[in-house]
Amino acid sequence: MRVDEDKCIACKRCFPYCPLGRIQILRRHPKIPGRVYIEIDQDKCTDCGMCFRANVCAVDALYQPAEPWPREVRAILSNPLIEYKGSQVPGRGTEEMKTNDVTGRFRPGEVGIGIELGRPGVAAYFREVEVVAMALAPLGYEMAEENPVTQFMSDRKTGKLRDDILNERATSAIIEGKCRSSRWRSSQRFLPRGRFPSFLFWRGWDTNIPSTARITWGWESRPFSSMNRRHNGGRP
Amino acid sequence: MTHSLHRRGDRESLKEDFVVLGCPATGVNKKGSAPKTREFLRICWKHGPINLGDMKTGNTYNTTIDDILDRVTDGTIVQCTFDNRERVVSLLKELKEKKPGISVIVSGVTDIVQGIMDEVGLGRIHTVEYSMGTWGKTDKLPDFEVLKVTTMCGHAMIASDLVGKLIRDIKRGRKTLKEASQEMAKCCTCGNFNLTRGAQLLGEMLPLYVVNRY
Repeated sequence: MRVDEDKCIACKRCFPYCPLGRIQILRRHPKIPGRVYIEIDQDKCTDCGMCFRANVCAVDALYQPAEPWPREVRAILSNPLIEYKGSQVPGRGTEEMKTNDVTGRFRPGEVGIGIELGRPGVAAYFREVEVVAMALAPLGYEMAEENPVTQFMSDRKTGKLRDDILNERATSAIIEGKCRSSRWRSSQRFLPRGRFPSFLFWRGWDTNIPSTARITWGWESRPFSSMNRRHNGGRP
Repeated sequence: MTHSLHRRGDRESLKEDFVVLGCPATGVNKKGSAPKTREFLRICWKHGPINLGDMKTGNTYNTTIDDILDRVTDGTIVQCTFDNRERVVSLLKELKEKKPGISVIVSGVTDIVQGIMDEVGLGRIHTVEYSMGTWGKTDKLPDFEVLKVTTMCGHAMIASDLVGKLIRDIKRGRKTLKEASQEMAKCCTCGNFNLTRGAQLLGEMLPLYVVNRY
């Protein structure tokens, strides 16, 4: 998100609408004496567009230009109104378990694990996402193909992300996939309190990533065969 | 789904907070799903949700229900938020009867949702997703009281500073609790924000918070 310095009057009405807090700086206008305008820290801004959508700017100084690669990944993963073409789902993840009743994405014996970095309201750089993804890879963690973060990987076996996006930042990036539930159970003994889903994430945390991460996990609670009979006429 | 799992609060606070999603599946029933999704939305609307929306169009506080219905396309995921258990029960009874043809997901406290399923006669929950909490540099997060409000928008579009600003506005008499709650609901485009709970949480925070920013 950018601010037109010739229009902005630094009224600060947009400040409280920024989900990332104070990422704005007040600057003196170089040509108009006495005029102060707001500059958004472009490194911290994730292009979520909330300040623009809040429609609070009295002088229409906020605008969102079409950003070139790799900066465009910020809006893809931060602006909920933008749909990522790979997943065909607006937002950062995939359908996950939402449609498991008909897709059978998670079968008996499998556990889906999603690790989301950045939310709520902290944001994460992709270099931090890479740390967690690379820690997960040796577990036999099968990355979800359609997920944007998986698409940004240069090596899906190791979880390595493309080098050109490592310094980009997003409101949320979800590492998403599944593994065998036996792997899940065996990993739990490494966990600090014995009930958290992934010791690999513990390793990721241990590397001191300067962001937050949230773990979700899901599984099918009904036998797959009964699910098919009830909901989908036998379709796997 | 993950975005509704961000919600924070104790059981008492979350027991009347439900998000019902309608989601067609890619490669299965996505093609031609628009009429089914519209039908799902119409059924939900009849049962009086506190909020309803589509992520790409907005919610009932940004636009109208007719606009949301008009802009539903194949693959649109729609969300309805309820502040009352009985309404969810009656909604699921009707959905069970009419079978909208897309996947229906209920987000709430797990055993309460299971109780609703039993009451409706849908049996065991088919697939469960849990949140295992937030890890890492949690000291960067705002206060838990503020998080309880802001995480009702799972996409994290409600700024913690906005909560502070609205509390100040309420204290100065510029806004009522309901208006402040609506202001936050406008930020959450997909319609996950529970306005009843939002107003209640703001009311609880009023005597505790002194805001001097902005």
